Amino acid sequence: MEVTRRYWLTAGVVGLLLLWTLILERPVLLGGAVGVGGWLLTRQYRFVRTTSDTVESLTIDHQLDRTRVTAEETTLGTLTVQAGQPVDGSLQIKTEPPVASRATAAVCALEHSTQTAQTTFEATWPIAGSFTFGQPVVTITDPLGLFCQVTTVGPTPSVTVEPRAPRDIHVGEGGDRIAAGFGQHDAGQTGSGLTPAEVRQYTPGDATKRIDWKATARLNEPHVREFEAETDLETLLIVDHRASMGAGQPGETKLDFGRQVALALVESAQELGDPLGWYGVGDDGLTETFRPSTDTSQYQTVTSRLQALEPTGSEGESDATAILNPAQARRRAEQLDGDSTFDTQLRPFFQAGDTYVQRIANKPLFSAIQAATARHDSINRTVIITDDTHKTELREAVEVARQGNGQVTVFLTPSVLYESQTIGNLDDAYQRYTDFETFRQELSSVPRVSAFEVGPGDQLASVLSAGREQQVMSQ
Amino acid sequence: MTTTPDPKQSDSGPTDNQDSTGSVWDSTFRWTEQRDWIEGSVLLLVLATFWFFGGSWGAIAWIAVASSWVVFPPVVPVGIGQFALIALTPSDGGLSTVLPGSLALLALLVGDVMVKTRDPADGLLFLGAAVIIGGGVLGVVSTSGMGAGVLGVVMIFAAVSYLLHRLLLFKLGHLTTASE
Repeated sequence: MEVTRRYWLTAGVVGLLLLWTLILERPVLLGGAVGVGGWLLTRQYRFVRTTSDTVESLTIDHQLDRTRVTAEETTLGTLTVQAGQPVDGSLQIKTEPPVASRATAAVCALEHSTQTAQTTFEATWPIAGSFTFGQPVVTITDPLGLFCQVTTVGPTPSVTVEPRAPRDIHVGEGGDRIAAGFGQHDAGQTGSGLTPAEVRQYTPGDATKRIDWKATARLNEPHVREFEAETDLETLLIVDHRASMGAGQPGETKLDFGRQVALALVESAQELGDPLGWYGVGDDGLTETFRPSTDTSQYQTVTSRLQALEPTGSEGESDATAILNPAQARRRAEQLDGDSTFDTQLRPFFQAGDTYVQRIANKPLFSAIQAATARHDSINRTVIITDDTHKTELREAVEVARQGNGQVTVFLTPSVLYESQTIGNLDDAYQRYTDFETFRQELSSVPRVSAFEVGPGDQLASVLSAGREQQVMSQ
Repeated sequence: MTTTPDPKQSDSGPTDNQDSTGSVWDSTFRWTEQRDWIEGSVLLLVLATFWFFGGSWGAIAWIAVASSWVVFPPVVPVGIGQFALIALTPSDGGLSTVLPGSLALLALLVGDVMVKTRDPADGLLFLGAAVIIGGGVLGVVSTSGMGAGVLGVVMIFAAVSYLLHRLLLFKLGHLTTASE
């Protein structure tokens, strides 16, 4: 129990009367001191009695609309207070939000005859983890403001805040998920190994120890058993983290989805013992260079660097200013055959064929792949994780990567699936997705190149659903 | 966030969240706007005793007491009334001389307790405490002198107030062990 300034003023009156009792030696003043002091004690006793009764009769309901949220999300809370009896004086209940939340304390107050109060509040959760509200703090004051008591009553709701990370990752082709993208891989050739591949007729030059005697006895001619060759798939991972990869909601950007694919690939390579190299591509060129290796530390380092990867620089060039390849430039230049000022001004730009080569060569992704293929000629597979912003550059980069006998796998994040306005205009979004799919199929049609889309599954489902509705309506 | 009004949490008490000038005055000096006819009628009793002791001077002293009752909480008119009683009664007068006036002022406090709490038990409790403590203290004064009586009053009030403080903590579960 805390006493207030009013209490001390009243006690001062008692003290004054006692002091003058001693000075004047008049017991009548002593009687006055006893009277005022007795009044104060009566008030205090009543406060003790009513406070304990009130606290016992209090029912406090402290609830949140959700107990599991994602970082930066906001929850709505309700604080309801019901007193079993009218409050003598005033009563205030204040919530104690966790320090990790961005929430102001909610306050409910009961005055005199009121017995119920309710308030709502919002809490934003910027940090991941588990957090618990403190017990609501109840402050009771007596009607004259002589005494005050603070105590805690009520439930302590908890909230689990999950970090923002891509969920429902879709990896597939044309809206269809691929069941498994990585794992044991077929080398496509025979040699020394454990897995039987085929039995073939003996040819001069084969080692006699390779003759399969059972097959020979069965077929009356010497036969040799072949095994599937066990080879390491040397993989080069190229992750584009230019500014355009930063599109999307916080924690669910193109780069976040691409990162998950890259991490899965690193894990798969580590499990299979495949040599893995990694190149990071930013707006200004290469940001990370790891030559292929099977060192355990290499996988760990690549993993940690991938997890820390952030988009670089500012937004790059858009499709409106995308580089045209020479064939496209020629076609457009042919259309500029008039004598108008417009045609004469633009014609030189389209006729400058060598500009295309120079401009492409300076592009970060293209130059990174060019450098990688020059340094590592034993690469079996090149995995490119990027988006569909730089289509021309990507086409040329894939051409460079597939030189030799290497396989190229491209994981593309369609821009349309990461824009906030996609849901608002699904018809347009479907059209843009169709354009993306055309581009993806174009890449996939190139020999030894596979292209997959990577994006939020729910967003893709919405876009495809809108597309199906469009088709039904058009029929 | 939508909330019910947030009463100020200060020593000034629960009536502070009224923003008119009059309410600020009430909050600071009167503590409460409540003035009841029962307390007012007790003032007539005080007037009668003061008139009996001091005649017109008693009436003037009563005006001072009544004015302070209107303006301040009841402890202030009681304090002023006690000093007025000293001025109105002879210094060599016995206890019986001042007893009617003292009881009239005590009635002012009883009336306040009865009116504010609406609980007769509190009024009786106050009356009982005042009579028992007052009687005991007067006994101490008659045997050991005025100084001992004053000391006794201070010790009794301090001890009871502290025990009530601890009782509330115990009832609320803030005291888990006896040694705390």
